[in-house]
Amino acid sequence: MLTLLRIKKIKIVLLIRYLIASTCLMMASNVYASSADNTITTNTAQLEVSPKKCIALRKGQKCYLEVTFSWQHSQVSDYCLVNITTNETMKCWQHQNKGEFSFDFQSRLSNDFALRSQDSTSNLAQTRIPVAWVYKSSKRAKSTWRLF
Amino acid sequence: MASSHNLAKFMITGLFGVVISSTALSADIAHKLRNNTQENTTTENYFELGLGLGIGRAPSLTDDDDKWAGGTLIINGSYNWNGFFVEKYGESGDPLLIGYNAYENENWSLDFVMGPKFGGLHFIDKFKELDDRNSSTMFGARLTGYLGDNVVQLSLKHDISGNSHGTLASALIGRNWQVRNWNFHSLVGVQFFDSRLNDYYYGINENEAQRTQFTQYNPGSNFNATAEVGVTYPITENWVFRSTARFRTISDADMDSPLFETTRSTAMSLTTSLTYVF
Repeated sequence: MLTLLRIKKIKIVLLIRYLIASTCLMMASNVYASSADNTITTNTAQLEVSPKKCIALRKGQKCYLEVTFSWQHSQVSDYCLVNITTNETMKCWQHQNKGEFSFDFQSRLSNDFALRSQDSTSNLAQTRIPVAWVYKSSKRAKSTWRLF
Repeated sequence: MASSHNLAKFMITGLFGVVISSTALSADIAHKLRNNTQENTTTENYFELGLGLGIGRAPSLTDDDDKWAGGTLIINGSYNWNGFFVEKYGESGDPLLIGYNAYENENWSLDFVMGPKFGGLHFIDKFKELDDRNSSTMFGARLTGYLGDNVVQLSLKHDISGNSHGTLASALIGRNWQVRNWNFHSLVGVQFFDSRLNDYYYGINENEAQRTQFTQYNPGSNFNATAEVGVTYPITENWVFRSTARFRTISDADMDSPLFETTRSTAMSLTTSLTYVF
């Protein structure tokens, strides 16, 4: 009888510990979640480009496309639009949290673009203008005589 | 959409017109120029299907009107394997070409090519009493050069089927230029048809003259000049728009043939097409 009571006591203790641990964990995860939510909220950046794709007739040919970039950020600050592929700053905005920029894209390759804080090299948001083509072609050998 | 009458007329003009013509702006120089290829590149492996519409003025075998209009199915493609290739370009005068690339360097490429060329007459009622004009199998060499911004192509081919025993030579020069994603090209050239070729397709021999209303005719050789300008635009990665204006002279050796209902010293056309590239 005494043994049974002891076992029941242990079970109750374990149950209470479990409940306390679970509650703590839930509280902790809630704190983390709200903290993470705050991070996302405070640092949300969006960068979009339209139209999306540049189409050339042949692989290797320069592709032309009039594009418009639009960006927004949850915080007002100084931002720059950077072509990551060519490492070229295309336009900067002072004390803004959104902006648009029209640009005459000309390239043989796909280019990546990013929104950055003016004094930073880390990308807040990224987008890409892919260069696609209809016909593939490959350059022939420099000098070859063939005999089957 | 073109009426069936117009379509038939267009096809007749297109098929037999090849003989007189020189729509035959030898094939692949036109293809190379259209694709804005200014350097020596291999024939691409691809296949495309599409529809074309055209209007023009040309000599006619069947009508007393030299104007035509109609539509056509376009099947283009090429396959290259270890120097061997098969080409079928709608913009070419060669319906189908197989070949072998024997030599190539930075600026020049030499191919040996073979393919059927020129059509028959038996599909038209009024020519039923005449001997068949069968297709020739033209075999020969094609030299393509990339000289600065220009592409030149010289070709010499001879019929090995034994039908016409004819010889055809051509010299073409063209260039292309890109205005944003629009690819323009221009091409001028001259073609030589020997007397055996002309005689087989346009001539009326003594036997034919005796049993039909056609008078005997034995044409000599001739030169035709040809020119074209065109534009090609990639709408998407798979859809391509093309438009081409062509002009060619037609010699008396062709036009004096009693086969023609309507004769002209020139032919011209404006064609537009939309194709899907697989």
